[in-house]
Amino acid sequence: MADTKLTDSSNDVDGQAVVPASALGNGNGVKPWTAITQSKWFGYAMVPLVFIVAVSIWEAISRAGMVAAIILPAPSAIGKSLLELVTAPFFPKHVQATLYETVVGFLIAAVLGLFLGSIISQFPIMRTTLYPYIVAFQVLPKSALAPLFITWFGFGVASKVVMSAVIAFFVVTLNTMVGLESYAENEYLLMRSLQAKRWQIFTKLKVPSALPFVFAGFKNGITLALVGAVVGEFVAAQAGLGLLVEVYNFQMKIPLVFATIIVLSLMGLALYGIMELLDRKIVFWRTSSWEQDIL
Amino acid sequence: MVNNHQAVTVRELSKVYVGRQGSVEALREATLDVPSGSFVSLVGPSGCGKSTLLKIIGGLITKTAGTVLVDGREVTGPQSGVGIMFQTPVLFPWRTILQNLLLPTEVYGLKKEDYVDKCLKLLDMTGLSQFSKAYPRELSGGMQQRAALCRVLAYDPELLLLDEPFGALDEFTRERMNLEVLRMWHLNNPAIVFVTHNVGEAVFLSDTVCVMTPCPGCVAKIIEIDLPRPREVTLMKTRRYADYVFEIREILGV
Repeated sequence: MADTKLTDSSNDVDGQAVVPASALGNGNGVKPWTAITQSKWFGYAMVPLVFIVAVSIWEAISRAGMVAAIILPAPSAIGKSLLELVTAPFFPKHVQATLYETVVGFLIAAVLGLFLGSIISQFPIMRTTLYPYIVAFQVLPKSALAPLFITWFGFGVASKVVMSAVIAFFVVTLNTMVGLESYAENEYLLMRSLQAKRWQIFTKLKVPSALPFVFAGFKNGITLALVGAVVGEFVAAQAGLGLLVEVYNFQMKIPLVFATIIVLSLMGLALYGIMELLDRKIVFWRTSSWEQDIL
Repeated sequence: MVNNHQAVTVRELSKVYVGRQGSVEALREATLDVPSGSFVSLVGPSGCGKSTLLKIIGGLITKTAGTVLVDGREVTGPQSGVGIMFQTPVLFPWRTILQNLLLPTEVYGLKKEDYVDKCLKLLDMTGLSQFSKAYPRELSGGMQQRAALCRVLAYDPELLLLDEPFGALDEFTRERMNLEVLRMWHLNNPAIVFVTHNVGEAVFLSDTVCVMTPCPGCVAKIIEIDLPRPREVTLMKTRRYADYVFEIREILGV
């Protein structure tokens, strides 16, 4: 649905742009420049182009010796390090650790967030008693808790899982709360007129209405979960990409630091992509993406 | 006056909304009868309390004072046998049209299979048969509202409460929808309370027009519409129709 709409609107743009061009008298069936720049394909083509240009400039600056390699290594050096990193025998272990911490942390955050968001929005007494504490906990910079979690849960994955869950749960909670209240009044009145029980209104109206918001929360949550895992690894860890960043940085192997960061962002991108896919699959009725713009 | 033949009995009904800005009187001592099987319109400008009256009859909001009986019983909340339609179609976007029509079976705890044929038949009658598996967003506003009409009719309500159901539609579509309502009404003959701000529409459809004014929320006059049925569009060209419309506009001062 969204794709067809995109095509439609780009067609509109094309159609509109033809008029001023002929008015200027330079159009003999030649597509005016504005129509090209505004077309969808031009945008897609620009993405790699921008990348190539930026990387080339960066490479040129590095080769000219304008910035010390220890501060900003050349893209070619980073590329070489990236290859070295991903082929290293120890690499899978670290990826696995961070991935595990992120995914498990996120799952805990998702379950906890859905549960808390539901009870807070459905029971006024819970809102009154619980919500202030949740907000108070949210405003606390949670990275400050990382050393404590290491003390409590050890150097292994457990402490990172906790860190990642703690960072990610609030956004899921908040989106669930907002989502469960997002139904239209007439939808509620219809359910009431059918003499629907409270749980029926919840499962048949409120939950489906909440899904677009919940997925917006999940998409934010999974990214935050990765942040939590890396922060935890920074403090103390036996494995993980965050640990690699720390170690390479300490050893002044800056190209490898960059390479690890690239792997981390690719991991974040992949996790986000999975969420986006699930979102489109499950919330198939969504026609606009405005919900995503809220947070 | 209160007898078994009244689908709805309203006596000196008042409603005061209490909000943070103080209280707002929405309805003042409204009195009205809706005989079984009759078509009654509540007509008046915005803020005359017609929607409030309808929702109190439907048990969706509470009254402040007075009496409301539906089928001889005091209204304490939403009742079975009463169908409500709103200005918006209220079709859930995650359900197909047929699934939307079957939503009440799930809520009522009825067997879905018993109603599938009936819903499909209603969709067929309203020209929506090929859309049973479509999602609401694939239908136009008028089609969506027709589907909402099917949903309410599938469960044979004895009382149908229509809250400006076609107010958001264009003139032509609305006219067609009104004829559709009349056609459906003749089939099962439920009592209908129809809220509108369109005087012509009220006269065309109704046995009785209840004219309401924002005094606030008073029933100014109850007018019996003595026009032949079944009603055709040509009726709107007649003198008697025009007289009724004029009389009501006079009361409303428009």
